[in-house]
Order: sequence, then C-alpha cells, then structure tokens
Amino acid sequence: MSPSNIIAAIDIGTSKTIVLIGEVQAGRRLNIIGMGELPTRGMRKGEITDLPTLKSVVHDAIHAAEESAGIQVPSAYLSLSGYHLSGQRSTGVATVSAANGRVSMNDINRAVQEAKGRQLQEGRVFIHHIKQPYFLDGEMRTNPLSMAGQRLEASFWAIDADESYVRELIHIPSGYGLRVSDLIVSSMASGAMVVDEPMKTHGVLVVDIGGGTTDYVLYRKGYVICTGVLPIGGEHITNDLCLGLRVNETNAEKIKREFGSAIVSPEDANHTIWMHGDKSIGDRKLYVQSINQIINARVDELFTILRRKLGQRLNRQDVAAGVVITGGTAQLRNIDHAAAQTLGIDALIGKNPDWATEDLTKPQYSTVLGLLQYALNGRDREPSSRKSGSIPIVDAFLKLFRI
Amino acid sequence: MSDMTPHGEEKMFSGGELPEASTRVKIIGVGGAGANTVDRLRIDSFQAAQLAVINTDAKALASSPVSEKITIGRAITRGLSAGGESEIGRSAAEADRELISRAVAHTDLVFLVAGLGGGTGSGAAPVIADIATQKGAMVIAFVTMPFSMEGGRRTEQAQAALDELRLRCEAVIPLYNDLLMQFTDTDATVLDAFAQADAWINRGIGAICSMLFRTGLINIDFASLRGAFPVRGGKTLFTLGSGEGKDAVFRAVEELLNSPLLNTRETLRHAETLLVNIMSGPGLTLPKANEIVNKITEKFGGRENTVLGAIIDECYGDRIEICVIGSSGGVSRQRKQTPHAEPVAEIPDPETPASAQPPQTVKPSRSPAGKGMTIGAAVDKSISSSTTGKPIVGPKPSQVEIDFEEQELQRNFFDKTKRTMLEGQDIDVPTYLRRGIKITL
Repeated sequence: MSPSNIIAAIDIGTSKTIVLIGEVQAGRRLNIIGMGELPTRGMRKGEITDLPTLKSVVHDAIHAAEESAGIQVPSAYLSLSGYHLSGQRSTGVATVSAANGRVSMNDINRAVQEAKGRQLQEGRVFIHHIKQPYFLDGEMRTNPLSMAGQRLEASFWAIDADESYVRELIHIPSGYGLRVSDLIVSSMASGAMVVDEPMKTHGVLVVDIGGGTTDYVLYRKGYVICTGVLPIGGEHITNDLCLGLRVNETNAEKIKREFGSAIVSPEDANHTIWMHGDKSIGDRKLYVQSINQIINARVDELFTILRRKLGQRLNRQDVAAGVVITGGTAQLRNIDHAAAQTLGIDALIGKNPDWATEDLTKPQYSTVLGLLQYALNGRDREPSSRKSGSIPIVDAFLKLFRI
Repeated sequence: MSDMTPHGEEKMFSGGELPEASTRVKIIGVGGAGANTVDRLRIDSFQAAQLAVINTDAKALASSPVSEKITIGRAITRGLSAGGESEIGRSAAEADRELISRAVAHTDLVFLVAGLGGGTGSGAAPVIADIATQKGAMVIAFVTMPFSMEGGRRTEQAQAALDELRLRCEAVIPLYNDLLMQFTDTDATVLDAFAQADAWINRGIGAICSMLFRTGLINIDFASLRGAFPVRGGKTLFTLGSGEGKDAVFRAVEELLNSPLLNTRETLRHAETLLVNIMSGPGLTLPKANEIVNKITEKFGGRENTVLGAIIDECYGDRIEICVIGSSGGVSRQRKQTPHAEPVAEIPDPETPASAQPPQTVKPSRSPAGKGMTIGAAVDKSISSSTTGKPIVGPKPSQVEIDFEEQELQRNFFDKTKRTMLEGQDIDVPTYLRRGIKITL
C-alpha cells in the first residue's frame, strides 16, 4: 500500500472533531479505512478559545483514526469555518486585444489576474478563489476562448480569512507531524456532498448547521454564487434551553435531541414530558410547548438572518432545487419545515452520497466526507488547475511554521 | 444653592438626626424609572435609610412622595426631560455637581437606582456615582436594562452606561427586563416586568440594609460589606431565594441557584468574594447557616472570601430568605480605598483636584464585641491579597478589554467568546428572551 493512495480529512467542528482516513483503490475507488471522532473542547462558535485543549483533542482524534486504520498518514485536508471568514465577488476586465476580435488565452489571463489582484487588509488571507462564469460583452460564457467579443469579464467568489486564525489552525495538525495539504471552507465541503450537478444547475442553497456555526453556499447555473458563515448553531439551541428551562447543559442537549422540534405545533399545548423519564431524583416535568417555543425562536431567527444576508439572491426561480439542510443540527425534528416557513422555499434534509456507509450517512459527516472528496480530486492534480480555484496558501504557512 | 428644592433643608435636618456611629445610607432614584422605583419602595424596611430622587424632569419629580427632590440641569433642559439622550442627562448632572455633592455628602453607602436606556438614568447615574465615590461613599447601583425589543439604540445607551457605572461603583446589579418578564404570567404586560424589577430592587436593598441595621445571629458591619467589594469594574453576582415550610432551606437555595437572573454560571463560579445574608425565623442555627453557605460557595466559588450575615426575626416563622451578592473581580483593579487617586477616564472631572479630601475612614456600625458576631477575617484576607498578592492591572483598561470582560448575563457557555452583535443584538443571548416570548415552566 503506497502512501500516495492514502488520503485523510480533518474536520474540527465546534462540537465534534472528526478524522477520516481513506484508501484509494484502482485509481478512483475510495474505501474509508480509519476514523477518529471526539467531542471538541476549546472551541466556541468556530473560534478557538483554548488552544492547548483543542490541540490535544485533535491529536487524540488523529491518533484514533490512525490506530483504526493501522497506518500513519503524512498529510490531510482540513476544514475551515468561523465568523471571521468573509466572501466577496471580485471581477476583472480585459479588452479583447487580437486583431480578429476573438478572445485569446492572454485576454483571459489578464481578466483573471485583475480579478484575483484585489488587495486584502492586513491580517487577512485568501482561502479560495471560486470560479464564476465569464461574461463576454455581458453574455455569460463558461469558456470564452476563441469567441468573438470586445469586453471580457472574469469573476470569482473570493473567500478570505483571518490570517492568525488560519495560522493557529494549521499549526494544530502539524504539531502532530501531519502536513495540511489544503484548507477547504466547510460550506464548500458539505455542499459538494449533499447536492449534485443538476441541483447546482437549477439553483440550490446548502445550509450546514453545525454546533457553533452555520455555513452556507448558494449555487446557481452550476456555479457558486456566494458562501457565508453565521455564528449560530446547535449549541445556541442547547444554551437557550439551558437558560429557558433552567436545566444543565447535558439535560438541555438530551431534551433537544429527544423531544425538541423546530416548529411549535398546536398539539404541544399542555403536553408534558419527563426530562429523564425514569422517575429518578431530579426528574422534572416539562412543557413540550415551552421546549419548542425556545427552539423555534432560535431557528426562526437563524433563517431570518440568513434570508436577510442572501436578500434578492434567494427566490423560488433562482433556487429552484430548494434548500438542503445538513450538519449535526439537521437532525433536529422539523428543521426542514422551519426553514421552508422562514425562507419561503422548499427545504429538505441532505443525504450524503452512497459511498458513505453506515454511520457516515448522518448529516454531521457531510463536511468531513466533502473534504475527503476534495482530497481525492486534488490528489493527482496541480493546485493551479483545480476547479475549485483553491490557492496553495498552506505551503506558504508551513514554510513559516515547519516543525 | 439657588436651585435647591424646598425640601433640601428638610433632608439636612433629618440627616443630622442620625446617631453618629450608625452607617449612613441613602437610596437615590435617578431619572424617571429610577425615581418611580424609589417612590414605590416599601419604606418600612428602610427606616434607617434616607431617600432622594434626582431627575431632569421637574414635573415628574413634583409628583414623587419622596421628600428630597433634586432637579438637575435646569439650565440645560429648563426642567424638562432629557428626551432619551444620555448626553443631555450627563450634561445635566455635570452642570449640577454641586447639588449632587451636597446630596451625597456624609453618606457611607449610596444605593443608586436607575433605569438605563433613557436619557437621565443612563447619562446622570454614572456622574452621580462618580461624585458619591469622591465623597467617600460606597456605591451600589441597581439598574434595569431595557427590553431587547426597545431597539438597538436604547440597548447601546444602556450598555455604555452600565460599563461606566461598573468603573465607578463597588457593585452594579443589572436587572434585564427581558429576563424579568420570565417571572410574570403569560399575559403579563410590560408594567408587570417593571413591578418585578421594583420587587427585586426592594428585596436587594432590603437585604443589604438589614445586614447592616438589624440585630442578628451574625451581623455584618459596614467595613465588612465594603471589604466584600475590593475592586471595581467587574461584574456583580446577585441572586435571591426564599422558601417556606419544612424544606424552606432547600427551596430557598434551589430558587436562588436557579434564578433566571443568574445565567452566567461559568463566570460566577469564579466569584472572588461573596456576601451571603440569611433572614429567617428562630429555627436558623449556625450549622444550618453553614450548610447554606457551603451550597452557595459550591456553586459560585468565593469560599475563601465569603462574608455571612444572618438575621433572626420571629415574624419570619418558618420562612427563610437568602440574598447573595458577589463580585467576580474586575478588569480595573483599582482599590476602593483610593477612589480618587486615579480618576477614571471618560467623565470629565473638573473638581477632582479641589475636592481631594482624604479618604474617609469607615467605622464599623457595631462593635464586634456586641451580641453579633462578625466574620470579618475572611474579608480582611481578601483585601490584603488584592493589595499584595494579585497582579494589579493598569488603572485605565482599554475599552476592548472591558468589552471582553463585560459580557452580559444570559450568555452562559458563550461567556468566553467574543460578543457577536448582529443587527444590534447580542446573538448569543437566547432569542426567546430578546423576542419577549414567555416560557412556562
């Protein structure tokens, strides 16, 4: 088994850290041979609050995955989320220079260079330049090479991040002796798992609701239109329940999973449940309506904020394939109905592709599986030719911080 | 002098009547909401305290039953309200520092009561706190915070005022209207929430006053009270619980530990000092009181620096009331013994050099040798440790640092993260609270 056939992915989420190790067989077939999963500590809302603790959790998860695979991995793909991420459309324009009036490679390069040339503020770093369609004299073109026209516009969805955060994050696996091959923004990774090309073409919004953040990506006509992160996730629901019901975090989490629903239904009125259900000391009777009112308020607010962020871009025509919800909080009852209610667009719970078996079909694994897919695709390609447009910032960092 | 209300002299007269040795306490309502609350205080619990109301709105003041009324900023608002502008409230107080100085002079303990968010409460209260501090008083502020639904501007104004007050008061107890609403019935109105605020303030001030003035199993003198708040700039822990009957102690402790006002569990575990006051019928024994303190310190910490007071009163019967006030330590480690050595920035203070009187020495109201027993040792330790042991952070913390430390209540396990403001709201505070949805328990 040559190491080049081994790929690995690390998703450090606010609530869970998941490491997957895959083996590529016969060129393209992927077998998952190792997995490590641990509750994350030292992170809230996608922010690192306690680096040493976080480090030890991630190292333990990597170790567990390597143990179960019976193999050591040299490098891995790493997910990136957090409210520090920001995305912007950046465009570049070139005038077609050839005498025959047809677009040359040189014109394309000039437009692309200009689009990518935007200066970032100090302390920010580009993570991805995701390619959007070209426009030739205002007409959308996937590949304008050799087409006749005058004004060529290249555009990208450019995602940038807080440099010191990225630096700290990359340092975590490298502290274990693992090289970070590339960073992939979480929304892009889970988006790649739960929607297919036809959906992307029709227009689809993927919402990955994790523990501390909600990562979203909007596709239209096959392209990424925008991505974003909201600093709200399932932990907010748990926290709200803690405070609203006066229960501790463990019980709030349990109540959310066992009894919670994202919408309040008329039957909830006067319906009560026992918190533990075993008549043990400290067991409490709780109103289902109270539980669901707390959850609904939070979930409705989350989607309301999302709707405002997306504005005009979110409409039934342009998002014809609807909203796909994934991430751990996708398991919350009726979250799809709540999303449809607030966003005004049909919503469904995302499914991971068939090659993800058993437990990995659950929505909280979308991101890490997506990372593995990126690892698979990126394995035999030069970074510059990658469709996603990721730029190899990682190497630059690792040169500075090589262990 | 010319601006003084006719009632000013009356107050001076009654002030002179108080025995020399006793702790002099004054409860001052600031602004419309603050004055209203003071108007409605159940006076009988505070016989030993004087009351005063301060407002820019002369007409509102005129209807107050409190005798000492001080209209501030006549030159600015011509006796009208501050119009919701805290800058006007502040200027009004600045313009009448003299009047305020006179009102807080010769006072050991000032309770400031204000509704933050509006003009006079937000603007004048920090100035009054500043003046009272300079006059050597200990200042404890009870302030209500506006409903989230009142909008971002009022919330911001209230937050700014709260930040300022914390730098100028020994303790600031913010009462969030959003949270108080949770105590009321489903069909409750905003007025019910205000009534809740009044009740909490009443109980809070009542608990502190009875610690000082009533004979008990364990008394707390003023020095101990003051010692429990060695630093400024930090958050204050405040919770109440009451119980009745066979399980009175258990219920009271449960209630105070589960109070919705207390949603900073993580932070409060690190409370540096705790003040626990127990009021109960004759059934209270020292071991029982100890048990209560154990349970409370288990939750909030501060075991090393806990001051316990216990009042026995026949009329409590089998009822017990517990009040816990704690300070979780501040960013600004200014020692209260030198309140004007390092004037706190922001409020311009032209009087500082002139009024640089020596710090007032505080005499215990009761001799420790009396029938009360004072647990003062723990407090002394805390003071000495804060003067010698712990690092003293610079006197002028940057605003950023304050923001980081000054996260509000209700954030619970997001306490350690940066506050995330979206559309003018702290998104980590539960949505149901900000939307005013009443949760039935």
